[in-house]
Amino acid sequence: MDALISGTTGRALLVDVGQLKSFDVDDPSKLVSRRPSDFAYLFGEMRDLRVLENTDIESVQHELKHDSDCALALDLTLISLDPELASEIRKEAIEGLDELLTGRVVESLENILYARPLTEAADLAGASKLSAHARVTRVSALFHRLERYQPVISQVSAAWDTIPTKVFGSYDHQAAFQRVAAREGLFRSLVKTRCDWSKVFVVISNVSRNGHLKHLHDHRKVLQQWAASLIAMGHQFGPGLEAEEQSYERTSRELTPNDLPQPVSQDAEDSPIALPSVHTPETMPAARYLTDLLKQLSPEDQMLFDLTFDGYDAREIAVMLGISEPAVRKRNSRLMQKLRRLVQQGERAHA
Amino acid sequence: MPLSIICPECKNEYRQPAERCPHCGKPGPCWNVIAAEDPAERAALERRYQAAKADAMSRSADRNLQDFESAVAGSKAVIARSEIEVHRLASSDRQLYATYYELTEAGISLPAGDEWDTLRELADTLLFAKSKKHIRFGCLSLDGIGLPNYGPCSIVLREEMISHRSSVFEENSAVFMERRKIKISREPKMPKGYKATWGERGKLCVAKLATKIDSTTPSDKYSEILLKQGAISEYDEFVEVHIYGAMTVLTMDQVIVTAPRKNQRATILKAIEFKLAKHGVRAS
Repeated sequence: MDALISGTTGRALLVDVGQLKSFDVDDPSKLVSRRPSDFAYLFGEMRDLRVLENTDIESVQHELKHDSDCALALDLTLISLDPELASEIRKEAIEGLDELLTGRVVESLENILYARPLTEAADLAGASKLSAHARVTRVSALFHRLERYQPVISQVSAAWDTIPTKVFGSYDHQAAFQRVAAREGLFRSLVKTRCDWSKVFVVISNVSRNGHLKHLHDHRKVLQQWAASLIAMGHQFGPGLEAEEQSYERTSRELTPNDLPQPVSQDAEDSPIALPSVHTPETMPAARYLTDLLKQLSPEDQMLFDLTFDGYDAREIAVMLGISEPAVRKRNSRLMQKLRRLVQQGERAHA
Repeated sequence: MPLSIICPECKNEYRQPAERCPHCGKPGPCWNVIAAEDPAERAALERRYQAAKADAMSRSADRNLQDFESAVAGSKAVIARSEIEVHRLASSDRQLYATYYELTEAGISLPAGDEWDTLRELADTLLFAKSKKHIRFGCLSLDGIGLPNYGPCSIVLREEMISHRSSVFEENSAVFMERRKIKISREPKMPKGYKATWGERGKLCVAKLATKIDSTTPSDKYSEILLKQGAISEYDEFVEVHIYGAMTVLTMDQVIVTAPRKNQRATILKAIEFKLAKHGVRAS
């Protein structure tokens, strides 16, 4: 069975051997027969449709509940930030939001909230005050993180905006890419790197493991351009941000482990490719700097770099190159040393 | 539907879907209203109306039918949509209510892609020709509640904002075309007397529904005689309203939410109602 789900409408459409049936998140046991013409009315503007393939009804119910909670959480967040609304409504929204903020929902919500800086109209200070008053620690922590990350969110977002539309192929592709990148947490992951060059690189190189992102039009070119723009902007946010955030989290009451800020990714921490943190020489645009750096590698090393950049792990690369896994690790380590040396030489020459 | 008209100001001819005379620049007509005002349409509707009244008289239902006509002559145009759509519209008076064609062309929505979708487009082309992209669809309602198959929020439109640009049609126009097997041709044979101007909606309702009124029909049944929800949208029974041109939150008079107000959704509905109230739209 395949299914279409939409969190905003709280509906799922099951497609099973040509038969269409729908159910609502509030009453998953009530299946209603449908025809294709009902499609538009079931899902409204269809901005958040998700396709689940080869699934079963329990999984669909589970995923729909998650997507519905995420959509509710986003609506409640926007209500709580809206200064035009009455304080009682905003406070009620904050209390409702706190109940929804469990691990996966927090991550999905932040994936969206970190994709663009808040507009000037958003009243984060007022919302924080209301959440403190309501003694809802999960929401307080969420708003705290959101506030602290605003400068980085602005920078990641600005870097995104510098990517020319032609790199995406069309405006439609650009919009689709942005939607998927936001939903899949790419903006959030980049924000969490605090523009640290090495971590940005790791996040970007891990993208190809994401089935949704790697199928997007020219994703590699887009990501290279994005990373280059981000690094070229030149401002790296220090680790103080994360330390301060963790300290705040520790002092918050009733927090679950899921509420704590997630690392960029486990892969990022463990990856053999952990380039030294450097600022790009101001005189050289980052993309050209990176390209020139890679040109200095041997063809074998370039291939290894490309495979790693494309998201293949050591085991997969070992199979592709017909060598052992430890050999891949060893080569990767050597590659890192070479890159480090080249970066240091570049820095010295620049100085 | 006329494909061209003579400009009442400069007396030159101009064609659909122009909203202004291209020659003198004077504001143009709403093409659906022009079609409903066609003398042949009005004459055919009058014949159906008189026949329905005569039949009611023969069944001693004429007084109740008169009562029904008075009620439906005051009916409202209602559009049922999702909470999300109402929330979007309520957020600003710069947000426009889009047509199906605008949504699909902008890539915001996908066509259903089935035979019904094709039928819908063919029906729209037959009825509105090149103006179909400008038509918003609603239904007539006595209690302000629309067709929940299209969403749990019934938007009641302000009469003064739509009466000059609205026409009404016998039923779901796509179903009408299919049921009567209307064929595509250069001059499609569309039966006349099944559309009316906004001001004559009472007549159309009588012509269509008089047989459902008898001498014992209580007035509290009028609402479900006028509008009845089917198991799926295809089986909905209603009088279709065609509204030409843009709409915003300021076109709304009231929003009635039929969805259950549970948990966090109740808070979201409160926020929507608060925003609607700022634009003078009642909500319940």
